[in-house]
Amino acid sequence: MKSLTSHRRQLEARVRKEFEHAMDPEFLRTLERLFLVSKQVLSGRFRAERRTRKRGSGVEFADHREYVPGDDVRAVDWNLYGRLEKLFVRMYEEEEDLPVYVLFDVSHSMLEGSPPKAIHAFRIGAAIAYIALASMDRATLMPFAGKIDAYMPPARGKSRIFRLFQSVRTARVGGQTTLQETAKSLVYRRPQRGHVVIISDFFDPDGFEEALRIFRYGRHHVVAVQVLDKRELNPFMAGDVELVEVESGRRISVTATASLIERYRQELKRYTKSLESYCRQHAIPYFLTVSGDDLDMLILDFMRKGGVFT
Amino acid sequence: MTFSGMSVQVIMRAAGLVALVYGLVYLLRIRERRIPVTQWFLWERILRAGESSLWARILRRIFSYLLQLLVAFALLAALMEPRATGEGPRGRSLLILVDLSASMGSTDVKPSRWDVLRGELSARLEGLGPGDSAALVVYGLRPRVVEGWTGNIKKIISRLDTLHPTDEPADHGRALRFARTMLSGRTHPEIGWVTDGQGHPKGVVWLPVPPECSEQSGMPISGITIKALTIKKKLVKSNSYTDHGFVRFSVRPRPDDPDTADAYVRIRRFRGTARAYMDLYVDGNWRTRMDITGDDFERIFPVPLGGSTIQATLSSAGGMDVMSSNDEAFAAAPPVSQPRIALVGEENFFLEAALLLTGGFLKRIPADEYTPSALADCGGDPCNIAVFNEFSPPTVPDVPNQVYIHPPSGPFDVARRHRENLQILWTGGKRPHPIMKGVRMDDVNLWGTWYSFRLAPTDRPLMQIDERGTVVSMLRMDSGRRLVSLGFSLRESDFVLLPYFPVWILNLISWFTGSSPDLIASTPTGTLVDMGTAADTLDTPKNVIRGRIETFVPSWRGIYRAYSNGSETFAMGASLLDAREGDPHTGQPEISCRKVPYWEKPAVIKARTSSLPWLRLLMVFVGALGLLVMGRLRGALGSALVLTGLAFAGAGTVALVLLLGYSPWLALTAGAFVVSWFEWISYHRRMTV
Repeated sequence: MKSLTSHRRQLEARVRKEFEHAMDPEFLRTLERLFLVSKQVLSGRFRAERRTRKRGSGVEFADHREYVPGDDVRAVDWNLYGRLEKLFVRMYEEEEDLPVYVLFDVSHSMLEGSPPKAIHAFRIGAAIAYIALASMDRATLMPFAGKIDAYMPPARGKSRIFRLFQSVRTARVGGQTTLQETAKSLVYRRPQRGHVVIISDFFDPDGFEEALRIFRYGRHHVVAVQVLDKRELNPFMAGDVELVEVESGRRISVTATASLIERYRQELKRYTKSLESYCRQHAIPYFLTVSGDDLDMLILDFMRKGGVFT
Repeated sequence: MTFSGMSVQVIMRAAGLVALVYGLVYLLRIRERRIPVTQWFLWERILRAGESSLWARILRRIFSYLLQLLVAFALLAALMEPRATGEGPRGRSLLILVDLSASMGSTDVKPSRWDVLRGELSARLEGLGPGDSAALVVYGLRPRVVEGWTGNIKKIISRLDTLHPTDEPADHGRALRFARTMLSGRTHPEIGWVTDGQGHPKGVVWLPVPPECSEQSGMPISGITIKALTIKKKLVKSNSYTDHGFVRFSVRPRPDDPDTADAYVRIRRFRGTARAYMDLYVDGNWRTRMDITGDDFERIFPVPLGGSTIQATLSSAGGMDVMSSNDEAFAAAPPVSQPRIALVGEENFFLEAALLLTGGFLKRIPADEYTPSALADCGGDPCNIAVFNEFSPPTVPDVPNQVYIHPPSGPFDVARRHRENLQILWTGGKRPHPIMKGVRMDDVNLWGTWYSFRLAPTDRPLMQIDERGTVVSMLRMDSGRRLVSLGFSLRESDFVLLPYFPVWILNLISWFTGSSPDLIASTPTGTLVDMGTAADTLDTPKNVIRGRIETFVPSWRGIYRAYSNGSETFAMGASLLDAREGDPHTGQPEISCRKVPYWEKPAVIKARTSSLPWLRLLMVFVGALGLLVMGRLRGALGSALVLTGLAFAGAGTVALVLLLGYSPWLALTAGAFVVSWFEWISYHRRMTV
């Protein structure tokens, strides 16, 4: 391994080059194919059928509440007034389309892998965003490491995808993963609540729980997609090695024995299990994908279980 | 230990250079491979438990470096060809005792047993130190010095290439006694014994010879280190070999038919199951063929003769006969000179009649007509036998064979004159002279005066009153003349009336003329042959020897002929007729008094080079293994245990290889290999971070 800086530069350049190719007709054809496949799976369940829990001016009755000055008198339930001699107004469920915020991790840890995990994450994110846009949903695609620098508001229409790609191309790549910062930078902006799809390795020393809690606090419907690399699952190392942390540059010498590798596998398994179990407890759809895996299966699975397009 | 004659300074410099280069290479090597990781916090959790083994890691690397340095030094030392001296400046006296008996030419080991052992011997001799001296002795039935004591080992190695197995059987006991004599008085005596073990006597070599056993075995060679170089059992595997061999072969012309002879053969099948054929040749012409069946074939059969040399050849019907030395047997009828006898002195009817039985020319010379010149004409040729009856010539005539019967004076010293009638009870004991073969004198009565003779140192008694002495008849060799005396008168005894008298006369004349009434036996190779008369040329199957020759040892099978002044005076056939030499299943030469258990008796030759301390070595290796296993413990203790275990394993390997008799350089290389191997497989296992 060369010096850490040159190693990082090399990886960044590679990821950027891949982002450049995002607008290639070949990749767009792939996205279109994925959209057609998803359409078959979710036939008849698009926009008009998606409802929010927001009380508003729709036609579907939801609840009553006491009248307060300023309320629309047209909403007063006079029948109820006749029986109880108190003023109550009728509340209806408001129908609206929920935007899809696709966030994919481009921190230094995501630049590792073969192919780099960031590229795999981008492909997943691009596919989800494209399907949403093609379904006339509002969607956005944003890279992140720490806080989100370049916020792209969700927009509608297939053609919007090029602008999203353009923003990805100019985005900063690298940095340290801080999921909390990411969550805060999105939620504190008070965007319209919607679906937040986080694509990351979730290797955050501060943990993932607080970040997911913040998203949920912002009343977003969160979907977690964890991207790992083959070498992270099965490290290929033996003998005396020096481990270099790609984000902080910290180092430690170890003797990679079979037992050590096994202990690492157990620890990683425990970590991913904890993420999965947290998501299950909080009704967050969770997906695990390995960098380089076929996108088709993941997207179909995502369509069925993700809850984004249902 | 010396290193190719290099000085200590040169070796130290070389070692220092190696250490420097190795250190640099090692420093480069310990730069660890960098692995980028993304899940740092996960690694931190795992490694937190191993923080205490930091010192162990450092120690392990240092130990590993030291071990590898040790390996490098061992290999460097091996490259310098170390030679074990061990005995100080006086050096060793190494007697290389090489068995060149017929079995060493066996081809059951490719290319042959001798070729295999010669290669091994040459390689080992190169390890001799500068202070050592060596001598080369070869032996079959008899030992022979090929190269005397010398410090130039290359001289001995070059002599080895000129040696080839003979057709003789091996007598290991005689060879060891000879070696002991040669080594007596020398410092640090050592015998390098190269043998396949076949021959005489049977047994196994147990070395070193216990002092209490040396007397029992009759080979007091304790104090001499013996290292045997033998054919390993594993080299002889094939069952497709076969081996037939002669163990007896004799031919006798029939008295009634000179053109026919009776042949006696005994053939043994030593190996295999194949049948064989025997072809018989007379003077090179084929006469007859015979099927050989069974493991032990013995037969007497008539042979059309018509010649003087008989050769029998065995050929196998299947399989490869691995030993050719015993596949041929030879016999030769010796040249017979016609007896031309002059009987001088008193006439005696019985004596004349007996002399006429020989079929030769007989000339009677009365005592008063005797002159030495009268012996010059016996039918045109000089007389070759003179019989003086009751007569002593003034001077001993120049006749090769002379018999004096009751001589009144000279040429013998009379010890005593007897008048009593004594019986002659001793006529040669168990091994009588050919003259006395088949002759008994215990019924012979003597009367009148008879003499007993005083023996000179070279004289041989033929008849004595008893074993203790009182010689009545004797044989004297005098300037090439053979003189036989008889102390009593034929007239004053009843000897002539007994059937033994003509037998005695016939024996006497046959011995004088060189003919034998016995079977013309094939002479076993390796035995000393006394021709009786000197010859100037000896024609052997391998070469022609010139000079004055009276005795010789036939080392090769074939016909031997001796000539004197161009005329043939002697002929014989020599063959390997030794069952033990041909039998591949014989044991090894025995020196020990210990009885060999049957399970230790090898099918083929396996002599022990030395008694290895197997138990101690096993303990060393088990200890090493235990330490290496315990080295799986974490921490500095694990490192220390593994280091000790590796040192044990390396030292044990070097010791084992040295004890097996291999060169020091090979031992060092093997030790380095074992240490490297264990170090390699245990480095990453003996502890974690």
